[in-house]
Amino acid sequence: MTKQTNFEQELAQLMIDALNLEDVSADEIEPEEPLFGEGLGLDSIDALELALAIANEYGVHLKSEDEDTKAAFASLRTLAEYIEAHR
Amino acid sequence: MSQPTPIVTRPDSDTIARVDGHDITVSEFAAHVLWLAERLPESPFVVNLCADRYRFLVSFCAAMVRGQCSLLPPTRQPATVASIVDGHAGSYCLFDHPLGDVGGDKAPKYDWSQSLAQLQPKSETDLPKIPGAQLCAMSFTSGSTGPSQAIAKRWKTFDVSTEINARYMVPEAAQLTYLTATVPAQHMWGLETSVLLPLRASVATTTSRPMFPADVATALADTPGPRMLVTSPVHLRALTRSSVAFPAVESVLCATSPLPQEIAVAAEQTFNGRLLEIYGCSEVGSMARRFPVTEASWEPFDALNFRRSGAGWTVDADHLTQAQSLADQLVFAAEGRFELQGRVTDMVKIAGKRASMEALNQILLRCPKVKDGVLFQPQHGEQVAERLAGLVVAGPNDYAEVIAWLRENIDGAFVPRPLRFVDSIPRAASGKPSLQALMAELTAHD
Repeated sequence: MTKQTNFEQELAQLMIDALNLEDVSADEIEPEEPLFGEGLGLDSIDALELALAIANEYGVHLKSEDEDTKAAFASLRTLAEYIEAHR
Repeated sequence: MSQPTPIVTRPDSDTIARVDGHDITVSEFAAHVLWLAERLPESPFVVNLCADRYRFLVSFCAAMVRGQCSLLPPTRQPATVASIVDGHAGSYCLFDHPLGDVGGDKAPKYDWSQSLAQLQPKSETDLPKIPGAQLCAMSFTSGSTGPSQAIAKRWKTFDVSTEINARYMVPEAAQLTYLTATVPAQHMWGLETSVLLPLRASVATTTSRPMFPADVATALADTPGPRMLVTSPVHLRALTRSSVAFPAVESVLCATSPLPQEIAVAAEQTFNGRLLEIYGCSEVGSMARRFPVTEASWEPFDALNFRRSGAGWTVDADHLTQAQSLADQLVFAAEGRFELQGRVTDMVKIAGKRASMEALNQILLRCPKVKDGVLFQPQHGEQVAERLAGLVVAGPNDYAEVIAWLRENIDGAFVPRPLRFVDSIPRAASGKPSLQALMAELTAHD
């Protein structure tokens, strides 16, 4: 498992709280594993929920029609990098 | 036999769509339809995978011109599309964006992603009339519990139901309304509104399919007013809780599952407009409406006959090929309006997908690691939660295997969250656990 950065761990916890993912703990989320479909198995309802939590916590508003956002949702790592670049 | 009727009944100079900030007139649209119809491969079936709503509309109508039936997959998952292709010999995939491996190698593909300006259609804009009996579309239920069920639609159904929908859904018939939708054109709710309404009513569809609140704000700001937003409770909930500022939306239309009252109230504040909730199902289409902020009961659309049948209700109409039984229990009251009072069947609906609770529970119990278990819809006060919850009796280290089993065998929308491991399921003497007992067990673990 790749080591999480501090911010990745914080974001993983936000994700668990927002999505009710009580079966995983923050440090179990592999930073480079896919969030949607395979991997954590998130879907579009989760994407909406997660986007809201990110907007409230970090003031970053995600956009689905922006190619950068599609790339950002690939993994915990890409999402963390996207938020840090835009907050 | 009913006479063939026109695809679009609006004047040539009317605006039917808005693409990249420009209005498209009915005659420009007709020219695009004829251009594409000339080029489509020969086949009885076309899988319409267009993501751009205008291109979906043009493709849908071009298919009708050619007598082809549009197949509408509920998702673009490769396995879903492949099973639809397999079930319909000769079908091909029509698309407007990179497809990846969707559709597999089996189905031929037709790509029309070139810009509209490059098309250079002929000046001819007379679309042929379509016979009422022509098979136009097949939509598919999610197939989360077994193979997808196909729902066939003939032109007469679309033609007549869209006239009815226009009367009940478009408040200002005289004024052009710009329609933005968060729901896909391939789903019956998105099809009835964002694709079919502009053929009959003074509505211009927009190309976008915004998802996040910031997308919706941008999409709405890209159109002049008055605006209409077609959406679902899941999207509306996210929109009303967001801090994004939206332009005024005169009319918000919501359907697919019951909308909680507080979201209805918040929606009218968020959009500074009126919220109209629609009751319908994929087989019949839209059937009734209410203004949920002020009305508890539903106003059924005329032309639909609601009849008692056994323990429940059926709906029939001249424009439907057969009577359809409803999953909900209706109670008719004053002035022909009705209220919904629970379900007749055990169908559950999440994010526009349907599944039988019984079938989902059977799948859970077939998991080799599960000794006993139950999936249910949790209830918090008056509110039904968005997701299913699950209680399972299994070994302490089996969590990952049980979840993996569920993900493999049922649609993600129905995978329970939370899934709690318990010592036993609180079953009553009948063997059936009460919702109260299940909720007590669920919250005991919080």
